[in-house]
Amino acid sequence: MKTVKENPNIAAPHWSEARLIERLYGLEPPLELSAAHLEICAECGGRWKALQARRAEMLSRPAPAVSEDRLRAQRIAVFQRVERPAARRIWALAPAAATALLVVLGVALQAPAPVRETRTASVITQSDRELFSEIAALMEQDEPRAADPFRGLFDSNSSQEVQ
Amino acid sequence: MAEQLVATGPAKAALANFASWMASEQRRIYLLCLRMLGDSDDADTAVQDVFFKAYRALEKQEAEIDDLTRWLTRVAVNTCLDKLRSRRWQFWRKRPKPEDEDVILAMASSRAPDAEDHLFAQQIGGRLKDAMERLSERQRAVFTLRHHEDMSLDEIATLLGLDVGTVKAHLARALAKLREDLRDLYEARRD
Repeated sequence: MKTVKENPNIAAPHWSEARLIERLYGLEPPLELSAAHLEICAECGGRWKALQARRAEMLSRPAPAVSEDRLRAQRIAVFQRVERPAARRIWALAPAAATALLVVLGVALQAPAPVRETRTASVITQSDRELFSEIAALMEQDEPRAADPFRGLFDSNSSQEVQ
Repeated sequence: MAEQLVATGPAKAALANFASWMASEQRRIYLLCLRMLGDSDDADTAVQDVFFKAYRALEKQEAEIDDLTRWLTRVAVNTCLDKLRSRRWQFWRKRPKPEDEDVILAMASSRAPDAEDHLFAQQIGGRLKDAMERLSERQRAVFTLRHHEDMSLDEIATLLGLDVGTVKAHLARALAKLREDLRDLYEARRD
């Protein structure tokens, strides 16, 4: 009896164009897609070969033309930059110098703070007069106020002796 | 042409080799910058920056360079990435100039003389430019290096200092975005 062995890759799902492009760029396909399917399926295999051929053709094209004047202008600019490093470094410091200048100008031109006027009382009240006279009296005393109780003690003793 | 340039001062000693090396690499670097930046003026400036940096690095011998071509490509890609990052804030930028679109078209177009193919290529050129603008900097760099420079994913990973998985993720997203943006063109072409 002859047994027919069915190739599982024939039953595998077809490749979409998106998956073929991803494969073209080196990305792995999802697990359900089989690379062997591309060998067996005429439709998928045909699209795959067409994509490969198109990419190969694109890569084999000569590089687009670039104007020689443009390239020459670039070279001149590079050499000019190479030969003027000091000048460029000075210009690189320009923002920092401008900032510093602005700070200095700001400080220099800043208006001085207003001077506060000291206020004196224009009207002297009765209580002020009493306070001043009390202070003046205190200043005129030779002995400190703390000695008063002792003075009183001596004064009373002396009066008793007389009696 | 480079041989006709006469340098003086500090560049004089290094210029003999540098000038010829620059002349041999300049076109490739310019096209790489143009593909990444999509603007000829920006690409001009980028090329100047690249070779100026290269000159300074070679002069100072900052790093050991095994493969000069690959090293220069890395300098160019990093310079373009810097420019693309700074461009994020330049909301006033307009569409590319018509002459730039022509150059990009020349990169994307089919060489078939068929008028329909030419028209389709023209459409693709303009639309591809717009679609590229919508990619992130890294996606654009990965796609450009893979599509135009035909570098392997490993090479791109080394060049950009990323791991291969990250490069694959960037490339997959870039392809998905480009397909989405250009879907109508593909569908029109298929019908």
